[in-house]
Amino acid sequence: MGNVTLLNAIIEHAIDGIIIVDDRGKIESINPSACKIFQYDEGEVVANDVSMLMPQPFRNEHDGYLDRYRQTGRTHIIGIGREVTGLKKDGTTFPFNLGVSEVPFMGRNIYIGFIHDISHEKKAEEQLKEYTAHLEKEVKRRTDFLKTAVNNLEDAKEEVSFSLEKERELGQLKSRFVSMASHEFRTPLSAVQLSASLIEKHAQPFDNESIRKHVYKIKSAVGNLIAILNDFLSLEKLEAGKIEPALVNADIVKLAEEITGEMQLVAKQNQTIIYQHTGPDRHIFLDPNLLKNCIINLISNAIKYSGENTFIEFNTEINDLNCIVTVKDNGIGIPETEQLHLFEAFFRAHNTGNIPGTGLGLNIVARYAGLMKGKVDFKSELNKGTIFTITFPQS
Amino acid sequence: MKKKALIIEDNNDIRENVVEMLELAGYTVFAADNGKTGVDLAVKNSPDIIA
Repeated sequence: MGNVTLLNAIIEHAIDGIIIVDDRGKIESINPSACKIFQYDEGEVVANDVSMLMPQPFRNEHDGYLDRYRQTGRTHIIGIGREVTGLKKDGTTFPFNLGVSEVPFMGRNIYIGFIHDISHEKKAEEQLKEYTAHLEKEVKRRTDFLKTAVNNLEDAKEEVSFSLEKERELGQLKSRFVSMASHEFRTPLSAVQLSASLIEKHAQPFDNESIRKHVYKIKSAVGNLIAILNDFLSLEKLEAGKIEPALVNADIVKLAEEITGEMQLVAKQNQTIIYQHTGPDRHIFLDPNLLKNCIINLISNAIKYSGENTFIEFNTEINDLNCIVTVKDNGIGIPETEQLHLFEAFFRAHNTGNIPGTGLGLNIVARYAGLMKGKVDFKSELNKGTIFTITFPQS
Repeated sequence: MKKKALIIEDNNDIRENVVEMLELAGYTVFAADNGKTGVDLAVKNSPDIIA
Protein backbone atom coordinates (compact mmCIF):
# COMPACT_ATOMS: atom_id res chain seq x y z
CA MET A 1 0.00 0.00 0.00
CA GLY A 2 1.41 3.40 -0.96
CA ASN A 3 2.11 6.00 1.69
CA VAL A 4 -0.42 8.44 0.29
CA THR A 5 -3.15 5.85 0.32
CA LEU A 6 -2.31 4.95 3.91
CA LEU A 7 -2.37 8.60 5.02
CA ASN A 8 -5.68 9.15 3.27
CA ALA A 9 -7.13 6.09 4.96
CA ILE A 10 -5.92 7.31 8.36
CA ILE A 11 -7.47 10.74 7.82
CA GLU A 12 -10.64 9.18 6.41
CA HIS A 13 -11.15 6.93 9.47
CA ALA A 14 -9.77 9.15 12.25
CA ILE A 15 -12.14 9.55 15.21
CA ASP A 16 -11.13 13.20 15.60
CA GLY A 17 -12.20 15.70 13.00
CA ILE A 18 -9.48 17.04 10.70
CA ILE A 19 -9.87 20.25 8.72
CA ILE A 20 -7.24 21.77 6.46
CA VAL A 21 -7.40 25.49 5.73
CA ASP A 22 -5.17 27.81 3.75
CA ASP A 23 -3.51 30.92 5.13
CA ARG A 24 -6.65 32.97 4.32
CA GLY A 25 -8.80 30.70 6.39
CA LYS A 26 -10.46 28.95 3.47
CA ILE A 27 -11.31 25.28 4.01
CA GLU A 28 -9.41 23.07 1.62
CA SER A 29 -10.57 19.70 2.90
CA ILE A 30 -12.50 18.12 5.76
CA ASN A 31 -12.60 14.49 6.90
CA PRO A 32 -15.84 12.53 7.59
CA SER A 33 -15.46 12.82 11.40
CA ALA A 34 -15.32 16.62 11.19
CA CYS A 35 -18.35 16.59 8.85
CA LYS A 36 -20.23 14.48 11.35
CA ILE A 37 -19.22 16.70 14.26
CA PHE A 38 -20.35 19.90 12.49
CA GLN A 39 -23.32 18.20 10.73
CA TYR A 40 -22.25 19.43 7.25
CA ASP A 41 -21.61 17.51 4.06
CA GLU A 42 -18.12 17.89 2.68
CA GLY A 43 -19.43 19.90 -0.28
CA GLU A 44 -21.12 22.43 1.97
CA VAL A 45 -17.90 23.54 3.67
CA VAL A 46 -14.98 23.08 1.29
CA ALA A 47 -13.89 26.40 -0.24
CA ASN A 48 -15.82 28.31 2.46
CA ASP A 49 -14.24 30.38 5.18
CA VAL A 50 -13.51 28.30 8.26
CA SER A 51 -15.19 30.96 10.39
CA MET A 52 -18.53 29.48 9.30
CA LEU A 53 -17.84 26.80 11.90
CA MET A 54 -17.45 29.38 14.67
CA PRO A 55 -20.14 31.07 16.73
CA GLN A 56 -20.16 34.81 17.29
CA PRO A 57 -18.15 36.79 18.29
CA PHE A 58 -15.29 34.55 17.12
CA ARG A 59 -16.67 34.37 13.59
CA ASN A 60 -16.26 38.11 12.97
CA GLU A 61 -12.97 38.28 14.78
CA HIS A 62 -11.36 35.33 12.98
CA ASP A 63 -10.04 37.43 10.05
CA GLY A 64 -8.48 39.75 12.62
CA TYR A 65 -6.73 36.79 14.26
CA LEU A 66 -5.27 35.75 10.93
CA ASP A 67 -4.09 39.28 10.09
CA ARG A 68 -2.47 39.64 13.49
CA TYR A 69 -0.67 36.34 13.06
CA ARG A 70 0.61 37.26 9.63
CA GLN A 71 1.90 40.61 10.90
CA THR A 72 3.28 39.67 14.32
CA GLY A 73 3.85 35.92 14.11
CA ARG A 74 2.23 35.72 17.53
CA THR A 75 -0.16 32.86 17.90
CA HIS A 76 -2.77 31.95 20.40
CA ILE A 77 -3.56 28.57 19.05
CA ILE A 78 -1.17 27.32 16.41
CA GLY A 79 1.16 24.74 17.92
CA ILE A 80 -0.54 25.13 21.29
CA GLY A 81 -4.07 23.82 21.16
CA ARG A 82 -6.91 25.04 23.30
CA GLU A 83 -10.50 24.57 24.17
CA VAL A 84 -12.85 26.45 21.84
CA THR A 85 -16.49 26.53 20.86
CA GLY A 86 -17.80 25.23 17.58
CA LEU A 87 -21.01 26.02 15.66
CA LYS A 88 -22.97 23.17 14.12
CA LYS A 89 -25.16 23.46 11.11
CA ASP A 90 -28.30 23.36 13.24
CA GLY A 91 -27.06 26.47 15.09
CA THR A 92 -26.13 24.69 18.31
CA THR A 93 -22.67 25.18 19.78
CA PHE A 94 -20.41 22.62 21.40
CA PRO A 95 -17.01 22.59 23.10
CA PHE A 96 -14.00 20.94 21.51
CA ASN A 97 -10.26 20.81 21.86
CA LEU A 98 -8.63 22.36 18.84
CA GLY A 99 -5.05 21.67 17.89
CA VAL A 100 -3.72 23.59 14.88
CA SER A 101 -0.45 22.82 13.15
CA GLU A 102 1.14 25.00 10.55
CA VAL A 103 2.45 22.97 7.68
CA PRO A 104 4.66 24.32 4.86
CA PHE A 105 3.37 22.66 1.75
CA MET A 106 4.44 23.24 -1.83
CA GLY A 107 5.71 26.77 -1.25
CA ARG A 108 2.90 28.00 0.99
CA ASN A 109 1.58 27.36 4.48
CA ILE A 110 -1.47 25.31 5.19
CA TYR A 111 -3.09 24.83 8.57
CA ILE A 112 -4.34 21.51 9.86
CA GLY A 113 -6.88 21.60 12.62
CA PHE A 114 -7.55 18.56 14.79
CA ILE A 115 -10.99 18.66 16.34
CA HIS A 116 -11.66 16.59 19.40
CA ASP A 117 -15.25 16.89 20.54
CA ILE A 118 -15.40 17.17 24.31
CA SER A 119 -19.19 17.60 24.61
CA HIS A 120 -19.42 14.40 26.61
CA GLU A 121 -16.58 15.32 28.93
CA LYS A 122 -18.05 18.79 29.28
CA LYS A 123 -21.45 17.35 29.95
CA ALA A 124 -20.01 15.00 32.54
CA GLU A 125 -18.10 17.90 34.06
CA GLU A 126 -21.27 20.00 34.09
CA GLN A 127 -23.11 17.14 35.66
CA LEU A 128 -20.39 16.78 38.25
CA LYS A 129 -20.57 20.52 38.95
CA GLU A 130 -24.31 20.32 39.15
CA TYR A 131 -24.05 17.34 41.43
CA THR A 132 -21.49 19.11 43.61
CA ALA A 133 -23.67 22.20 43.72
CA HIS A 134 -26.63 20.06 44.64
CA LEU A 135 -24.59 18.36 47.34
CA GLU A 136 -23.40 21.70 48.65
CA LYS A 137 -26.97 22.93 48.67
CA GLU A 138 -28.06 19.78 50.47
CA VAL A 139 -25.22 20.13 53.00
CA LYS A 140 -26.18 23.76 53.54
CA ARG A 141 -29.83 22.83 53.91
CA ARG A 142 -28.98 20.16 56.48
CA THR A 143 -26.51 22.43 58.25
CA ASP A 144 -29.21 25.09 58.48
CA PHE A 145 -31.60 22.47 59.75
CA LEU A 146 -29.05 21.37 62.37
CA LYS A 147 -28.38 24.99 63.30
CA THR A 148 -32.08 25.55 63.79
CA ALA A 149 -32.31 22.37 65.83
CA VAL A 150 -29.34 23.43 67.96
CA ASN A 151 -30.86 26.88 68.42
CA ASN A 152 -34.16 25.33 69.41
CA LEU A 153 -32.36 23.06 71.86
CA GLU A 154 -30.51 26.00 73.33
CA ASP A 155 -33.74 27.93 73.67
CA ALA A 156 -35.35 24.92 75.30
CA LYS A 157 -32.38 24.53 77.62
CA GLU A 158 -32.63 28.16 78.62
CA GLU A 159 -36.32 27.77 79.20
CA VAL A 160 -35.77 24.66 81.29
CA SER A 161 -33.09 26.26 83.44
CA PHE A 162 -35.33 29.29 83.83
CA SER A 163 -38.17 27.02 84.92
CA LEU A 164 -35.85 25.14 87.26
CA GLU A 165 -34.66 28.38 88.77
CA LYS A 166 -38.27 29.49 89.20
CA GLU A 167 -39.15 26.15 90.76
CA ARG A 168 -36.18 26.37 93.10
CA GLU A 169 -37.25 29.86 94.15
CA LEU A 170 -40.80 28.64 94.69
CA GLY A 171 -39.48 25.70 96.71
CA GLN A 172 -37.45 28.05 98.89
CA LEU A 173 -40.45 30.34 99.30
CA LYS A 174 -42.59 27.35 100.29
CA SER A 175 -39.96 26.15 102.78
CA ARG A 176 -39.66 29.60 104.33
CA PHE A 177 -43.43 29.93 104.51
CA VAL A 178 -43.95 26.51 106.06
CA SER A 179 -41.26 26.96 108.68
CA MET A 180 -42.36 30.52 109.45
CA ALA A 181 -46.03 29.52 109.67
CA SER A 182 -45.28 26.46 111.79
CA HIS A 183 -43.19 28.48 114.23
CA GLU A 184 -45.61 31.36 114.40
CA PHE A 185 -48.58 29.00 114.89
CA ARG A 186 -46.88 26.98 117.54
CA THR A 187 -46.32 29.85 119.97
CA PRO A 188 -50.00 30.91 120.29
CA LEU A 189 -51.02 27.23 120.32
CA SER A 190 -48.69 26.62 123.26
CA ALA A 191 -50.28 29.57 125.04
CA VAL A 192 -53.75 28.11 124.39
CA GLN A 193 -52.64 24.74 125.68
CA LEU A 194 -51.16 26.22 128.83
CA SER A 195 -54.30 28.29 129.39
CA ALA A 196 -56.44 25.18 129.00
CA SER A 197 -54.35 23.43 131.63
CA LEU A 198 -54.75 26.41 133.93
CA ILE A 199 -58.52 26.49 133.41
CA GLU A 200 -58.56 22.81 134.29
CA LYS A 201 -56.68 23.54 137.51
CA HIS A 202 -58.83 26.57 138.43
CA ALA A 203 -62.01 24.61 137.71
CA GLN A 204 -61.07 21.67 139.89
CA PRO A 205 -62.88 23.00 142.99
CA PHE A 206 -66.16 23.19 141.00
CA ASP A 207 -65.96 19.54 139.99
CA ASN A 208 -67.87 20.31 136.79
CA GLU A 209 -68.06 17.55 134.16
CA SER A 210 -68.82 19.99 131.27
CA ILE A 211 -65.78 22.13 132.02
CA ARG A 212 -63.63 19.01 132.16
CA LYS A 213 -65.03 17.75 128.86
CA HIS A 214 -64.47 21.01 127.00
CA VAL A 215 -61.02 21.58 128.44
CA TYR A 216 -60.14 18.07 127.28
CA LYS A 217 -61.47 18.87 123.79
CA ILE A 218 -59.41 22.08 123.62
CA LYS A 219 -56.29 20.28 124.80
CA SER A 220 -56.61 17.39 122.38
CA ALA A 221 -57.46 19.63 119.40
CA VAL A 222 -54.49 21.87 120.15
CA GLY A 223 -52.34 18.78 120.68
CA ASN A 224 -53.31 17.52 117.22
CA LEU A 225 -52.45 20.87 115.64
CA ILE A 226 -49.09 20.98 117.38
CA ALA A 227 -48.36 17.43 116.22
CA ILE A 228 -49.17 18.40 112.61
CA LEU A 229 -46.99 21.49 112.81
CA ASN A 230 -44.18 19.39 114.27
CA ASP A 231 -44.49 17.02 111.31
CA PHE A 232 -44.32 19.96 108.89
CA LEU A 233 -41.26 21.30 110.63
CA SER A 234 -39.59 17.87 110.67
CA LEU A 235 -40.25 17.47 106.96
CA GLU A 236 -38.91 20.94 106.21
CA LYS A 237 -35.75 20.23 108.18
CA LEU A 238 -35.36 16.85 106.44
CA GLU A 239 -35.83 18.47 103.02
CA ALA A 240 -33.26 21.11 103.87
CA GLY A 241 -30.84 18.41 105.07
CA LYS A 242 -30.74 20.10 108.44
CA ILE A 243 -31.24 16.91 110.46
CA GLU A 244 -28.07 15.10 111.48
CA PRO A 245 -28.48 12.06 113.69
CA ALA A 246 -26.68 12.45 117.02
CA LEU A 247 -25.58 8.86 117.64
CA VAL A 248 -25.06 8.00 121.31
CA ASN A 249 -25.04 4.91 123.49
CA ALA A 250 -28.46 4.23 124.96
CA ASP A 251 -30.56 1.56 126.64
CA ILE A 252 -33.33 0.49 124.28
CA VAL A 253 -35.44 -1.14 126.99
CA LYS A 254 -35.45 2.02 129.08
CA LEU A 255 -36.36 4.11 126.07
CA ALA A 256 -39.08 1.68 124.97
CA GLU A 257 -40.65 1.49 128.42
CA GLU A 258 -40.71 5.28 128.60
CA ILE A 259 -42.46 5.43 125.23
CA THR A 260 -44.89 2.67 126.19
CA GLY A 261 -45.88 4.62 129.31
CA GLU A 262 -46.39 7.86 127.36
CA MET A 263 -48.37 6.22 124.59
CA GLN A 264 -50.57 4.21 126.94
CA LEU A 265 -51.85 7.59 128.19
CA VAL A 266 -53.14 8.54 124.74
CA ALA A 267 -54.43 5.07 123.79
CA LYS A 268 -58.14 4.42 123.27
CA GLN A 269 -60.44 2.79 125.79
CA ASN A 270 -59.01 -0.60 126.75
CA GLN A 271 -56.29 -0.44 124.14
CA THR A 272 -53.27 -2.06 125.70
CA ILE A 273 -49.72 -1.62 124.55
CA ILE A 274 -47.66 -4.71 125.33
CA TYR A 275 -43.93 -4.22 125.27
CA GLN A 276 -41.38 -7.01 125.13
CA HIS A 277 -37.64 -7.13 124.50
CA THR A 278 -35.77 -10.14 123.09
CA GLY A 279 -32.08 -10.81 123.50
CA PRO A 280 -29.56 -10.38 126.32
CA ASP A 281 -28.19 -7.12 124.89
CA ARG A 282 -30.10 -3.84 125.48
CA HIS A 283 -27.47 -1.44 124.26
CA ILE A 284 -27.94 0.62 121.09
CA PHE A 285 -25.83 3.20 119.33
CA LEU A 286 -28.46 5.38 117.66
CA ASP A 287 -30.06 8.82 117.97
CA PRO A 288 -32.59 8.25 120.82
CA ASN A 289 -34.65 11.30 119.83
CA LEU A 290 -35.06 10.21 116.22
CA LEU A 291 -35.71 6.60 117.28
CA LYS A 292 -38.29 7.73 119.83
CA ASN A 293 -39.97 9.86 117.18
CA CYS A 294 -40.13 6.84 114.83
CA ILE A 295 -41.59 4.54 117.47
CA ILE A 296 -44.11 7.12 118.69
CA ASN A 297 -45.23 7.61 115.10
CA LEU A 298 -45.74 3.87 114.58
CA ILE A 299 -47.53 3.38 117.89
CA SER A 300 -49.82 6.38 117.38
CA ASN A 301 -50.71 4.95 113.96
CA ALA A 302 -51.47 1.62 115.64
CA ILE A 303 -53.68 3.43 118.16
CA LYS A 304 -55.38 5.52 115.46
CA TYR A 305 -56.09 2.71 113.03
CA SER A 306 -57.24 0.01 115.43
CA GLY A 307 -60.33 -0.11 117.60
CA GLU A 308 -61.01 -0.13 121.33
CA ASN A 309 -60.35 -3.30 123.35
CA THR A 310 -57.33 -4.31 121.28
CA PHE A 311 -53.72 -5.09 121.95
CA ILE A 312 -50.83 -3.27 120.36
CA GLU A 313 -47.69 -5.37 120.38
CA PHE A 314 -44.47 -3.40 120.64
CA ASN A 315 -41.29 -5.46 120.46
CA THR A 316 -37.60 -4.76 120.38
CA GLU A 317 -34.91 -7.30 119.62
CA ILE A 318 -31.15 -7.08 119.54
CA ASN A 319 -29.20 -9.92 117.96
CA ASP A 320 -25.71 -10.21 116.50
CA LEU A 321 -26.73 -8.60 113.22
CA ASN A 322 -29.54 -6.17 113.86
CA CYS A 323 -31.57 -4.09 116.20
CA ILE A 324 -35.19 -4.69 115.29
CA VAL A 325 -38.23 -2.67 116.37
CA THR A 326 -41.72 -3.97 115.56
CA VAL A 327 -45.15 -2.50 116.17
CA LYS A 328 -48.15 -4.71 115.44
CA ASP A 329 -51.83 -3.85 115.52
CA ASN A 330 -55.14 -5.52 114.68
CA GLY A 331 -56.43 -2.48 112.84
CA ILE A 332 -57.99 -1.66 109.48
CA GLY A 333 -54.88 -2.61 107.47
CA ILE A 334 -53.53 -1.06 104.27
CA PRO A 335 -55.14 -1.95 100.91
CA GLU A 336 -52.64 -3.91 98.82
CA THR A 337 -52.94 -1.60 95.81
CA GLU A 338 -51.93 1.37 97.93
CA GLN A 339 -49.04 -0.20 99.81
CA LEU A 340 -46.59 0.94 97.15
CA HIS A 341 -47.21 4.62 97.94
CA LEU A 342 -47.33 4.28 101.70
CA PHE A 343 -44.08 6.11 102.39
CA GLU A 344 -44.76 9.03 100.05
CA ALA A 345 -45.26 12.41 101.74
CA PHE A 346 -48.94 13.39 102.12
CA PHE A 347 -50.12 9.96 100.92
CA ARG A 348 -53.04 8.46 102.80
CA ALA A 349 -54.78 5.19 102.01
CA HIS A 350 -58.43 5.38 101.02
CA ASN A 351 -59.71 3.32 103.93
CA THR A 352 -58.51 5.94 106.45
CA GLY A 353 -61.91 7.65 106.06
CA ASN A 354 -62.28 10.49 108.55
CA ILE A 355 -59.42 9.40 110.80
CA PRO A 356 -57.30 12.56 111.01
CA GLY A 357 -53.76 12.61 109.63
CA THR A 358 -51.46 14.46 107.24
CA GLY A 359 -49.83 11.53 105.49
CA LEU A 360 -46.44 12.72 106.70
CA GLY A 361 -45.82 10.36 109.63
CA LEU A 362 -44.52 7.30 107.77
CA ASN A 363 -42.55 9.47 105.35
CA ILE A 364 -40.76 10.99 108.33
CA VAL A 365 -40.28 7.59 110.00
CA ALA A 366 -38.68 6.17 106.85
CA ARG A 367 -36.40 9.17 106.52
CA TYR A 368 -35.38 9.28 110.17
CA ALA A 369 -34.66 5.54 110.07
CA GLY A 370 -32.73 6.07 106.84
CA LEU A 371 -30.56 8.72 108.52
CA MET A 372 -29.53 6.02 111.00
CA LYS A 373 -29.03 3.42 108.22
CA GLY A 374 -32.28 1.73 109.24
CA LYS A 375 -34.92 0.28 106.96
CA VAL A 376 -38.69 0.26 107.42
CA ASP A 377 -40.77 -2.72 106.23
CA PHE A 378 -44.36 -3.70 106.78
CA LYS A 379 -46.86 -6.46 106.24
CA SER A 380 -50.50 -5.66 106.17
CA GLU A 381 -53.80 -7.31 105.51
CA LEU A 382 -57.02 -5.38 105.05
CA ASN A 383 -59.23 -5.45 108.18
CA LYS A 384 -56.80 -7.83 109.89
CA GLY A 385 -53.93 -5.60 110.93
CA THR A 386 -50.50 -4.30 110.16
CA ILE A 387 -47.00 -4.99 111.41
CA PHE A 388 -44.23 -2.43 110.95
CA THR A 389 -40.58 -3.35 111.34
CA ILE A 390 -37.59 -1.03 111.57
CA THR A 391 -34.27 -2.82 111.18
CA PHE A 392 -31.01 -1.12 112.13
CA PRO A 393 -27.80 -2.99 111.27
CA GLN A 394 -25.45 -3.51 114.23
CA SER A 395 -22.10 -1.72 114.14
CA MET B 1 -38.83 28.02 152.39
CA LYS B 2 -40.49 27.97 148.97
CA LYS B 3 -38.43 26.83 146.00
CA LYS B 4 -37.47 29.50 143.47
CA ALA B 5 -38.11 29.30 139.72
CA LEU B 6 -36.95 31.58 136.94
CA ILE B 7 -38.78 31.67 133.59
CA ILE B 8 -37.29 33.41 130.56
CA GLU B 9 -39.71 33.72 127.65
CA ASP B 10 -40.36 36.56 125.24
CA ASN B 11 -43.97 35.65 124.43
CA ASN B 12 -46.16 37.39 127.02
CA ASP B 13 -49.02 34.86 126.99
CA ILE B 14 -46.76 31.91 127.44
CA ARG B 15 -44.62 33.60 130.09
CA GLU B 16 -47.65 34.66 132.14
CA ASN B 17 -49.20 31.18 131.88
CA VAL B 18 -46.02 29.44 132.93
CA VAL B 19 -45.61 31.87 135.84
CA GLU B 20 -49.15 31.09 136.97
CA MET B 21 -48.61 27.34 136.69
CA LEU B 22 -45.37 27.45 138.65
CA GLU B 23 -46.99 29.60 141.34
CA LEU B 24 -49.84 27.11 141.58
CA ALA B 25 -47.21 24.41 141.95
CA GLY B 26 -45.84 26.33 144.93
CA TYR B 27 -42.81 28.11 143.50
CA THR B 28 -41.65 31.65 144.03
CA VAL B 29 -41.38 32.75 140.40
CA PHE B 30 -39.14 35.29 138.71
CA ALA B 31 -39.83 36.13 135.09
CA ALA B 32 -37.80 37.77 132.36
CA ASP B 33 -38.74 38.60 128.77
CA ASN B 34 -35.14 38.61 127.54
CA GLY B 35 -31.87 36.82 128.12
CA LYS B 36 -30.04 39.72 129.75
CA THR B 37 -32.72 40.32 132.40
CA GLY B 38 -32.85 36.54 132.83
CA VAL B 39 -29.14 36.36 133.63
CA ASP B 40 -29.42 39.32 136.03
CA LEU B 41 -32.33 37.68 137.85
CA ALA B 42 -30.52 34.34 138.00
CA VAL B 43 -27.42 35.93 139.56
CA LYS B 44 -29.49 37.94 142.04
CA ASN B 45 -31.91 35.21 143.17
CA SER B 46 -30.08 31.92 142.48
CA PRO B 47 -33.27 30.04 141.50
CA ASP B 48 -33.65 26.26 141.93
CA ILE B 49 -35.01 25.84 138.42
CA ILE B 50 -34.65 27.88 135.26
CA ALA B 51 -36.87 27.49 132.21
